[in-house]
Amino acid sequence: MSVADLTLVQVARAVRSGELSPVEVVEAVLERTSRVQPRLQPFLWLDPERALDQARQRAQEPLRGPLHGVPVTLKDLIAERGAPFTCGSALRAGEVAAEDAEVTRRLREAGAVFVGRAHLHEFAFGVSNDNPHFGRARNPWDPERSPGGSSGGSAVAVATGCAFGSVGTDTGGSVRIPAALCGVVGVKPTYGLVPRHGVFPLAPSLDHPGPLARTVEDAAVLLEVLAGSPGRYTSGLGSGVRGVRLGVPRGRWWEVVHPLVAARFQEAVQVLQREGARCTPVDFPWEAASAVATALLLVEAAAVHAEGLRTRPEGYGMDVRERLLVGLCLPAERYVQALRVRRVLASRCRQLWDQVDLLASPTVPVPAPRWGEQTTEVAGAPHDTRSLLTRFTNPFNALGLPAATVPCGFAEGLPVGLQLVGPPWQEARVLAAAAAYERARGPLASPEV
Amino acid sequence: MTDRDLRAWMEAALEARGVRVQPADLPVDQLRAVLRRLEALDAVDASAEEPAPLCWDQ
Repeated sequence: MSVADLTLVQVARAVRSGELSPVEVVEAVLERTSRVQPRLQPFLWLDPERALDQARQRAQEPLRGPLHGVPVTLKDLIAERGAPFTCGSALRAGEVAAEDAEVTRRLREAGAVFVGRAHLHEFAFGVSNDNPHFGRARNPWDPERSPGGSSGGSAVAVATGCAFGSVGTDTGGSVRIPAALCGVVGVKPTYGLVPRHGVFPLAPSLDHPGPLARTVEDAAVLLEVLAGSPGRYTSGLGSGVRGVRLGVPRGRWWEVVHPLVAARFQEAVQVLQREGARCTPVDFPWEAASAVATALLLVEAAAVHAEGLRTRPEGYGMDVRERLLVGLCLPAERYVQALRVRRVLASRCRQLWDQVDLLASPTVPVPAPRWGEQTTEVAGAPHDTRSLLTRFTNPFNALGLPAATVPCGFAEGLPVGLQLVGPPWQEARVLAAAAAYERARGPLASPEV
Repeated sequence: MTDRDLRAWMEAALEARGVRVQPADLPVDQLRAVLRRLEALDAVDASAEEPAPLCWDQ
């Protein structure tokens, strides 16, 4: 087994104990990257010498923190001092970040080493990672399929051992969707928990930076660093789910799920029940919450890019440009209505949390789509693929609730994710349940690299 | 709204914002689909709420 296949926690421990040097760790990751990058392209930019320089520096320093000497990667939407900052757009070709984003600063302070800049959907405005300017980051389970997006490169890098963790951004599911489709863990924290300073905005009221990693414990360590809360999420990971009230969805929204994804989800719920969780069917306002997310996303993204659309519309890829144009044309009263509805739904959620401790759903209702797939047939009817991918994720962006995805098996040989959602600021509860499920589930296969 | 009306509305909205788009490049179908999806907002009576940002208490 290569060092690149260790978990983040294992490699951090090995560096702390002196069993591995930061340089050995980075060399192992760079060796892995040299094989993965030509086939799957998780990175938009790689500078092995720069990563080695950081590793040499860590090797000579006293221990900085929990990530000392651990290679991680950032979605190229998050500023990293001295590195390209393209946001996946040709319009920003040649841009170099003058300073670190706050999350980058926190990771650096914790000792992390940055390896490359992770691929993404153009301006994070899409879920396929089919980028007209920089090509595709490909799914490690089947390169003819999308890894999901918009943090697709992050998920591919983590799944293939090119990094021990990554930070992406999640505006409608952009951490959880690629994590689920590539078979890794992804966390979208409560809105506002992780700072957005230095993160290029997509839709500011929905943007959530969050970690991707190969295990729940790894993701919890990263989240502690990102949130500046040492010990807050790892300390309760062993607490299990005995007596936890788990709300499972019912109703029309839930019916549009691929049968094999539904089967994996039901099995995962049974695992949690065996571990002591009590399951209750609940009604959740999926459709209205998703509509809120859609209205806020389109209008806010159009506002961010209004000047670019006026001056250099040809600089955008067609799919992104079309969505931005739609956002510019939405009636203002729909935006205001969405803000109002969001507050009503948040109030209903407060009542929901009196009935259950967590919600569970599939993260994505279908396995990874093929490149170019515009519609996907589910339950005997064609559905817009892009809307399907965000179906179970964007409602929680609208409501700002913490949510995590953890791999729960395979459908047609492709990973399936279990999503767990908690009340505001209850990341510890979400991660403890995810960890309990992960332990009870046992190991899953990794993609061939 | 007819396709023609929707197209005219898009053209006017974009022109007012200084954005020039070839008529063939107007994503009229996408706008229609989004407007239909947003009708789900009408099912929630939110008239008594302020259109304020969401902020969860810690």
